[in-house]
Amino acid sequence: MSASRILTVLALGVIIAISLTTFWDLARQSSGRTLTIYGYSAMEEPLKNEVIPAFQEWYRQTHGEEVEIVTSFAGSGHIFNQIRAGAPAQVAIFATEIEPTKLMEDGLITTDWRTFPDNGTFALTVAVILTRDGNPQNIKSFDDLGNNGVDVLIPDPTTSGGAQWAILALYGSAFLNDTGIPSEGGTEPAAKLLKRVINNASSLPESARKALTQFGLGYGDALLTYENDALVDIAKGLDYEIIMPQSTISIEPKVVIIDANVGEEDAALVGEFMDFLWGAEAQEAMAKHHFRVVDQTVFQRHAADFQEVASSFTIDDLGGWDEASVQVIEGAWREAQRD
Amino acid sequence: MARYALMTSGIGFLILLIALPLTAIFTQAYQGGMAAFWEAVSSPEAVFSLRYTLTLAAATTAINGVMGTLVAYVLARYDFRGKSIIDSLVDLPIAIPASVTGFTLLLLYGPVGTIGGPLSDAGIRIMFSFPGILVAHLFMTFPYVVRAVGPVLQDSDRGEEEAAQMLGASGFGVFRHVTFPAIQSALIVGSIFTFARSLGEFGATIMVSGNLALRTQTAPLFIFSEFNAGNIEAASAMSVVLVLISFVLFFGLKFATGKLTLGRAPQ
Repeated sequence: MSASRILTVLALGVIIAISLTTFWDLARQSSGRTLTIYGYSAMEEPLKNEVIPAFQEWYRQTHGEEVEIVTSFAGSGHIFNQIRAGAPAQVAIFATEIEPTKLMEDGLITTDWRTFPDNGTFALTVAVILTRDGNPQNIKSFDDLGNNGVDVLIPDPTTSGGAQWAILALYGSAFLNDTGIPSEGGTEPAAKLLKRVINNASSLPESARKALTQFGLGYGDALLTYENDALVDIAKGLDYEIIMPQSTISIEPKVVIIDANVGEEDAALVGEFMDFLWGAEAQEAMAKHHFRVVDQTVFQRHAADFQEVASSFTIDDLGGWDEASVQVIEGAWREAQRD
Repeated sequence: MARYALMTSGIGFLILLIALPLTAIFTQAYQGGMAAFWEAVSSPEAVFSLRYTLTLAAATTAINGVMGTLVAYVLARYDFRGKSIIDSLVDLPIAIPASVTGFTLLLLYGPVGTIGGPLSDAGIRIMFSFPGILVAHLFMTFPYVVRAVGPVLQDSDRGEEEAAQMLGASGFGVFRHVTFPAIQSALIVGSIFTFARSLGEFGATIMVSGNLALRTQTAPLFIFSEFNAGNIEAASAMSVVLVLISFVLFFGLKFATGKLTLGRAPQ
């Protein structure tokens, strides 16, 4: 046999061996208890590194049995499309309520998340502005993001829940006065601000996390993002500054059960995982990962890690998701993009 | 003089366009030193994604190797109505955006799709699992073997096959002893292109795989996820591994086929 033939046979042998062992592993994996969780990008670190291992440990001690947890993390819109197309998610965490609402209309969700504690929100955050160290453009408010020459990064609201919150934050900051009621100027100042900001946007990455990565690579002067994401990078020692606007939106992610993918045999496991999210251990982990958790005792322990918010408004102040997504995201933002 | 000018501009362009970004990936990947690099590529998620990708590429190559040769044979040997349309269909996967392939498959095989509907009622899920990704890869890489083997079949003398037949060789005998030796080298070229393309397939895979770590996450999806999550080191490290595998493949191709001209392979 020639050298080239021996090499070919060797290479083929290696590839066949890899293929067979991979199949073997895949076949072995599918036995035993499994829980499949889909989450929006910012959930990846706290869940993968802390909450899930802690739950597995708790499960082992409580039931004397192992549970395997399969995860997938991406922008809210992306995981929504995947679940709608049949991805096997049993528990999903969305950045906004838009996606769960649609999944409920499709019949994939039958349990209303608003019946869960805190309406299905186990950890909150707020929208903030991230700038380079020393804030060279002197950005103080959402309005300043519309100033001439400010290169703004903002994720794409068609795929990113973070972007939807960011746009609502911009809009609300101009539309509502400090007491949270619509100001006299009506919607016009808000529409104008969106227009000015989009003119400054150099990129619309598909998820908040990707926007943060781009910012880290040196693109943009300011990033409109989640406070928890911003704190992740500050904790890594990156030279950024968090600008907390006078008034910002309170961001409430939703955890939901995708009932269509939960068989009778998994229902108890899913329920236990949901309860675990509101338990002290998971709350502590989420707080450590820079979320403003709903458990006030845990939050108070970490309060010093967060900047004070002078005034915050919620999605309800903008008329709730149904109205806000039509008026602001599909309405004002689209129009601002088209002009 | 003209020769050097041509060489400098040609090779210079190649270096600027291809070698420079690749060097940047290598630098990125080694920024934390060898230990950090090793840690990044030896995490369970990384190892799984690489094995999964290699397995997919092997299965894709095996199936398209056989089916591509069959289609090339049919197109080269038989005349039929609508042949030129079929012939043009073969190349379409190169032009269609990968994302289009991805969502088309997702719709077709999904719970509400024409094929996926009945299957999902029967409890069979194709998308977000190995078979679904495999279908996407088969689609995306289909032209390579057909376009490598086709011209050789077209050029080769049909008389030899007929002679063997007349001398009493069976249909398979003719293929085994006459046709196959003629197309062997071209088949290797086509297969390596198929394998390499499958190794790097991203656009369609991200749509149909579900991107489940340790389940359906291929190496390119691993890179994408790590990059999105801000883990540039892990993303670069896996990129380096893929670049090296591809380089070895194409280098090995030259070695294994010796005199073979690469001009026959599709671009």
